Amino acid sequence: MFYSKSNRRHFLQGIGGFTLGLPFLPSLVIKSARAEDPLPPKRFIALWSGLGGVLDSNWYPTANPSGPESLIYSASQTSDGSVHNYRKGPLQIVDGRISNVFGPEISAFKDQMNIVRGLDFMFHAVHHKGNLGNFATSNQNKTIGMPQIPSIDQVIGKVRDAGLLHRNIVVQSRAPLYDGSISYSYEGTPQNPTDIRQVSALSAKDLFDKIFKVAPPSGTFNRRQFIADKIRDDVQNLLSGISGDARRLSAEDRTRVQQHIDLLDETERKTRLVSSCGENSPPGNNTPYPQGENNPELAVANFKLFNDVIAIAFKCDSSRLATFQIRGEGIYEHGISHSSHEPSHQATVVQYNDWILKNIIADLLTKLNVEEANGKTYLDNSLIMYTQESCMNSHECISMPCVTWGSAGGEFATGNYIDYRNLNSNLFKPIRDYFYPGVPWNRWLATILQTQGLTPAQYERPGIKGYGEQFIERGESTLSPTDRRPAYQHQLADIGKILPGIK
Amino acid sequence: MYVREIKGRPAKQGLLFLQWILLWISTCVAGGLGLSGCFKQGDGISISRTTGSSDSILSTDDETDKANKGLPKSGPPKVTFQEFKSIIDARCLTCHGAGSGNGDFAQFADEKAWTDSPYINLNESGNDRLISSPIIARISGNGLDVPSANMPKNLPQIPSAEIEKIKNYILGIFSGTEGGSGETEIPFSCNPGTSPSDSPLKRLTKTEYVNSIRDALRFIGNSSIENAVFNNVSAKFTLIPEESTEEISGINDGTSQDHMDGYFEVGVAIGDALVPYKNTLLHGCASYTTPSCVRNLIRDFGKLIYRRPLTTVEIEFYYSAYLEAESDNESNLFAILFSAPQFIYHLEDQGIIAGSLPGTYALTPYELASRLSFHFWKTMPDSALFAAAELPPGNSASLMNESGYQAQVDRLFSDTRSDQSVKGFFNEWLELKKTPDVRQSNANEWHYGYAGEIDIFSNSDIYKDMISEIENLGLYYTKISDSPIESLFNSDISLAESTGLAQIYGVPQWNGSFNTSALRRFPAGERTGLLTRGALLASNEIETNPIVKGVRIRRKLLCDNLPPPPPGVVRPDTLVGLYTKREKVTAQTSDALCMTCHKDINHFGFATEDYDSLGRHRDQEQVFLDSNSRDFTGIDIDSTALANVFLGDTREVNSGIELNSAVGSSYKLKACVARNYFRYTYKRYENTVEDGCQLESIRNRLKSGTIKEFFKNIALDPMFKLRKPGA
Repeated sequence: MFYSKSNRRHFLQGIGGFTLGLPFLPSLVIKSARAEDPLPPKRFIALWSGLGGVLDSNWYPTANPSGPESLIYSASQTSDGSVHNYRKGPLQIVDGRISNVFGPEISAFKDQMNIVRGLDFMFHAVHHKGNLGNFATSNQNKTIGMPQIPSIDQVIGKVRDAGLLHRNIVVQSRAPLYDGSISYSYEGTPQNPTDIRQVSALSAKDLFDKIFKVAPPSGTFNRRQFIADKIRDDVQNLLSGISGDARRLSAEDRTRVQQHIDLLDETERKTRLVSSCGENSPPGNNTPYPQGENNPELAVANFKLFNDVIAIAFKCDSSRLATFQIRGEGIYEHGISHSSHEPSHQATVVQYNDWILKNIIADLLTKLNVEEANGKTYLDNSLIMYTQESCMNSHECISMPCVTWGSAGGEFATGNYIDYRNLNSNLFKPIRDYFYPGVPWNRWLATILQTQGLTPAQYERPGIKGYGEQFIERGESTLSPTDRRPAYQHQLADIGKILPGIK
Repeated sequence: MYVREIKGRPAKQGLLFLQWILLWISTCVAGGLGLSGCFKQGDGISISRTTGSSDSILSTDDETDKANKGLPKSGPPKVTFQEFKSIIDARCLTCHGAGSGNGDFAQFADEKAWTDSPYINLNESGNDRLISSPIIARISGNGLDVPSANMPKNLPQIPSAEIEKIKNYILGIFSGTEGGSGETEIPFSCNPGTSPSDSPLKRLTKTEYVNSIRDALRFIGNSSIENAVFNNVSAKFTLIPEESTEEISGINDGTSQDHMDGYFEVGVAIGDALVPYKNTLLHGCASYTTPSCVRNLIRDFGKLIYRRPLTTVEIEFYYSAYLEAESDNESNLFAILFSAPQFIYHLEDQGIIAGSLPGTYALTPYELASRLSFHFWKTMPDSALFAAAELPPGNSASLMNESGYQAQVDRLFSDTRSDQSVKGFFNEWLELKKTPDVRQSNANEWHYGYAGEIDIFSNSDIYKDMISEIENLGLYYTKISDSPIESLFNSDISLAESTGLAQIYGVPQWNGSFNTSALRRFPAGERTGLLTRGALLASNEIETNPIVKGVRIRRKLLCDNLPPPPPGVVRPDTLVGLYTKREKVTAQTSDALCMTCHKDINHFGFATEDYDSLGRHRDQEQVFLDSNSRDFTGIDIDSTALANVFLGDTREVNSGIELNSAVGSSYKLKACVARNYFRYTYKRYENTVEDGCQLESIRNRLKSGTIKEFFKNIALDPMFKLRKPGA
């Protein structure tokens, strides 16, 4: 992937000069960046943990949503003649908790929260990283053959936030970076993304440094800038034949060397970046989480630092997108997931979810829940989504755990429990337990994309409504013997529309 | 109800093939060409199936067509691939060029690409081949009912003489000598005097980069300081992205922003880490305020970093940079040096024109030292190699002297540091990184006791050991037992170090020693050869995956291209009930369109069905009554299959062991391994025309000698000492 030979260095110098000229006032920076748009920008964070296996009885509030039923599909539209309604009602706190998993720390955000039920992958995904739309990560895909597509955070960043300093922040606690990420890079390969606007690091300090640089006062020698400038000159010497023999470089070689210079220019630009949130200091800890470590306390400490960086990046409008992967950390590992329904194992699963929510997610919500403008907080203007790899049955992805916080700038009504399952359908027994079919996950992704300000024309692939491959399981394997087409085929016509009930 | 394979077909195919050979030979001889005239120099190419075109393939079941196969009365005039391609380029690329959307001929850069394309059908011979090759039908319009006939459209028609050349080229592609198994040996076409294919600028892989930093620090001259500096910097290596696992490392070596930022941070970190020891780096010189001391430091340290002496201009550049900094001068200097493109890339830009090979340069001694060292040791040259590079050619120890060069090759290969490179080849050739991690099983039934006592949940030892077993086998047969390639496919040695893999194999664990007494062996008749090892058998499901097994053998061991499933293919529903995996796959791929490829895939997977999805040997397949049940029924394994290693191969194999033998003894395997080793060595894909001589040299070495000779002696090929950068 090579860049054009236009002089990016001059262009980037211009950007840096403009940034340097601004006063150190975050509110002014944000306003000037979006001077033509009076509304605060919308942001999206996707948090994800592997495995799953939380029983519905532990995840969801005990009672069904207390609000009315509303029609999604009439009897003439569904395959089995059932009427497909959804139900929506306010979340309730009982004994300090919304459910067994959502304890007091999360329940404090009840009014900004939605629990969504009945969002289904249309196929038996097993192990995957497809919650943001790249279903090809499913290890079933070797027989299905779906193409890799960018995850929705990448799409939003590419389409909507192209002008930002950093489009996407990818937080992972383990090396190698991007390996098995739910965020599938828009350009390059997942392991070798060539997108210069995506940023990730294994320590919060490195992540902060990648996003922000504090320029020394003018007139002070910027050592890193000096080094970058000299490296550039060194490479230029190669290209011009001052160093080495440029005649031995083919046109393709020269293009590659030029690309090296272009990338160096970006590196050099970062050495000159001004922190537009001058009062924020970088996290002190610069130690990546040790590979192979299972230390919940250390993991929490690290994630809280990442939360700091994300919150700063959002407040400074350096980025509006983040994806966040959380691993088992020794509390909950793969072997348990196969028998997560057994009481002792389920208790571990609940403990693990409680640990994530009260330590990591509640911390992030708190840091974002400060006023941005007009009485609304950064949290209000964002959509934070937490999902998992599997539903209550490990390897299965029906009625996926999905909880959101924030209203995406008023696009979502909040404080609700919404249940999209078709309780009148007898169709579904994928593996062991009965599931009621809900609505396709593809439509949920389309809902997120549109509420983040994109139009379908900006993200839909030719002939494919919604987002994500429209593969519907046909019951061809012993692992997934149920033909799911009756559950979802009729929903394909609406799969690109915003889900009802979100407002 | 069971789906049975048609067993009669292979016998009929074999008889017809023999008839065709005899008829071809007799026709040539009758035409006055003699036996040798029937066969032309071909290329070490493999035959792949064309798909997707309704007019492309005449069914191999069509006995009538075979019986009526037309053969030329005499051999066609020889037309080279270059002549063929020049006509295509001139006549077709206007409409069928890159990005045209009409069928991009520009993508077929070499002969193999053309012969593997849908436009030439090598499944047939003689006139049938012309009739069924779409390129002929399109330009002459006299083939099958082809809508797009009489090409090029709206342009002057191709002269008949050029059409004849295209036809003669296609007719003359396939030739070689008959092997004992009935396989025709197809050498790579070697035209001496042909320049090698273009060798683009490559960056160091991450392994090479890290190793080179470690070894460049030997300039310090104090191992404890060297280690301290290296360890100090090591944390920054995580900033450098890992190499792609999709191909042989170094082929896809794009430089991303993360690479650049990572190189920068590593360079800065090295600079900072060296500062406490900066005086040590002066090696007795007075101080950094003495210009000659700094210049000498740049000269000597820079030589290791550049992997060649610096010019005066280069030294002055760094010296100026050193002076210009307002602070941290020494640290900045080291950071800039370690960020030089000469360090990050395999720059071979100093060579001289190489005789009569157009556009080709002979590597300088330093460049040759680097190429040797990075190939065998994945790092920069050591002091001995540098010293050999600096000796004049007249000195017998010089790298530019034949005996001196041989001595260095021998030394580098014999050293244990080459083990990494040997293992790396087997790892990357066989794509061992794609070995399923059985811990990630998606089978609900695992906990129903399928794995038995084998712990597949809690650790990654089995997965890692499956990979290292193959690497160690490769190492053993290459460097220790010095065996031919066939040994890999006849080996009954187990190198399973982990408890889990040893349990899968049913043998004692290996202790890591290559002493003969320490080697474990499988029970007789149960498991021999590469294709019966866990890494090449395992799936992370309770069922095996014959298609995946078959694709890997077809692509990685035989270098046959397999196109993706054609659009619109309808996959029949899977058999549900008491069926073996073989029966299910057979039914699933029974559609005629599917079989155009799957007839060359499935049989490989079926032949190793005598091993389960963990790699355990079995006589019966455990078929679970339903997904909720802990009960299963045992169904006898059927692992008989056609070998189908090469076109017309009608041998039947009855087990994974026999399949190993069929594959391991084939010419095609050796040609494929040669290709992959070329890629591994040069970090680029081969061009069978331009690199034909080198490929043939590598292939012959493997065919006639040991793996050791094959691996080591690539460095003795003339092309190893050359580079053609391209225009």
